[in-house]
Amino acid sequence: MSRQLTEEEKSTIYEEIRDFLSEELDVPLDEITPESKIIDDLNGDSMIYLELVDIFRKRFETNVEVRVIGQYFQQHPIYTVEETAQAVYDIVERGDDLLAPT
Amino acid sequence: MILTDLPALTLTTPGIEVSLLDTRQATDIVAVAEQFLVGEELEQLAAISNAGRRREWVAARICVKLMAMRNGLIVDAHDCRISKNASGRPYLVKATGEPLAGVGDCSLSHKDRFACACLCRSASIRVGVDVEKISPRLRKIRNAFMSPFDVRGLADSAEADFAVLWTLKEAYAKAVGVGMQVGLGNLICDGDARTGAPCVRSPTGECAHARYLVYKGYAVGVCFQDSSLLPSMGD
Repeated sequence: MSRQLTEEEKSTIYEEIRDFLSEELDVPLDEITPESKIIDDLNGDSMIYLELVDIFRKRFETNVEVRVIGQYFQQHPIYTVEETAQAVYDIVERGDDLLAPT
Repeated sequence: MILTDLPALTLTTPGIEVSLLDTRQATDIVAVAEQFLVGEELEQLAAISNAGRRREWVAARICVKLMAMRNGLIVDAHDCRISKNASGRPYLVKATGEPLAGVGDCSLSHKDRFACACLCRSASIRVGVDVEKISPRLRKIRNAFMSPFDVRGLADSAEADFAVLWTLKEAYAKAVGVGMQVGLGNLICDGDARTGAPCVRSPTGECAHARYLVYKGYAVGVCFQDSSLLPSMGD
């Protein structure tokens, strides 16, 4: 099942991602920009991506399999905060059609 | 710098070693980077801005280079460097980029104070290693990486159990090159049917042998894949 996120919802998601990264990685919020690389600039790890995906999958009741999300990440390597937010938007909006060509 | 050897993870027959480097040995490990890293590595380091990430990144490379020196594969740390293939998989080469004799495969990992490296002398074996802190963090996402068929009770607490299983599946993904696309939760950690030794397998049955331990609040898991090893799994 898919849905369309409003710009306000996307903005909220983006800010929640920043808040989460700031708290989990102990990085000041003002140092987290759209271009910040989660691993090289914020010292994140692979678990961070799973944690973020888990949060928003539950929030938006999306049942996309983790395996499918993993395949999506392989097709769309994610390095920055902005790319991570876009991945979350795609997971929420496209659901089971996540891997379908756009 | 002194390496901490993990004999429980060392396999003499195929020449697989795993060592840890405790970054607390040095006040500022990045300050000694030039003693160990070559030009390309120093350029890569310059692109990393986070202080913690820089420490871990440097420490992992120091760890594997110290292991290479100890094995007589190189004389000086500047004789070799870590390169990565298109998939991001690391491998050890001469500083000039040529293959380094005597090294079959290597794997790096780092978490907080510990950097970890696995060095394999055999060219037919692929290895993967992972180190992870035992914490409540993994409990929250256990549904994303645990399988109902995973063996349990590998460690003396649920938190440590989660950490061991996580490191084994991450190590498998590094060794075999299959992880994200099948989902860690679809990998199964159980015992080899013939020997009973721990192993990790994919949904298609591709199996890698596994070793693990818990050390000072961290789980360390290593996986290695070579069908010729099956008769010697008692090592």
